Amino acid sequence: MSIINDIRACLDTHLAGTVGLPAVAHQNVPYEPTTGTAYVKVDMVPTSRRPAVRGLNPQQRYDGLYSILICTPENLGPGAGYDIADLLLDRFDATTDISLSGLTISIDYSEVRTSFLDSPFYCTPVTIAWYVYN
Amino acid sequence: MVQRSLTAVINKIEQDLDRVRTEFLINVAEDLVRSSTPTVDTGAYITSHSITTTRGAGRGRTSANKPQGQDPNAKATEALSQLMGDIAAIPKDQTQVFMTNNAPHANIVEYKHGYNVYSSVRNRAGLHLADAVNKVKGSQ
Repeated sequence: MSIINDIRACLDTHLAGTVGLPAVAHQNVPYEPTTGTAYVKVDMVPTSRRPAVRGLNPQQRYDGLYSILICTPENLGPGAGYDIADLLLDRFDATTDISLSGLTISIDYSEVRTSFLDSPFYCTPVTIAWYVYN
Repeated sequence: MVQRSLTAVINKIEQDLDRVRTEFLINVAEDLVRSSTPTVDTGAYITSHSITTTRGAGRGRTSANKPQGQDPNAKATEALSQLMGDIAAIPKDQTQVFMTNNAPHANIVEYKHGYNVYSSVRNRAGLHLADAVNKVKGSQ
């Protein structure tokens, strides 16, 4: 696999190991949310690829975001979404190193953003920033 | 004599820092528009970006009842022009600025559609700052 795909696989695998997570809607995979049932939607957003050192054939530093949108049924308050957000913050806490097939991804930070209504769901974004030297 | 020399040095540092700030904001504005261009449909979101000195202030256009399928490059040009005006209007002594988008569907674009425009631009802020410093250094 390409490095970007390896990073995605590593993050997706780590997410899949989160205990207590509802169904996950992955990128470019058909997913039809069920009204009244919580789910999370993930997007991997590579943001930069820069040489980490000078010289020929430098090691590269890759930066990006793993964006998770927690969708819980509307009109039931924000608590259910924040409970899931807490699980994700613990799972992807800053300074955590995640490894898969010899690749190690470091978590720079993870944070919860402002919730919003997208009827029939109430959505809470969680943003996880990662970086990899490869 | 020493006093005069120090004053000249300090003035030069202040001028350079002003230029770094402007170059940094221009880099951020260009990245913001570039990252938003693929989202263009009505153009309401991309033309709602603002750089302001007040939290919560700024443009907020709705996409309701607007014609769809607009030219992304034309909307990007309009958005960048607005942001350049915003940057030019920032007072010299301003130490805090905000990038905002008050379009009603901004959160949908950012998170539900997964474009993560603001998150990714923020993640590249360090690169934009380094680039701004290099531009100012390189022009000396």
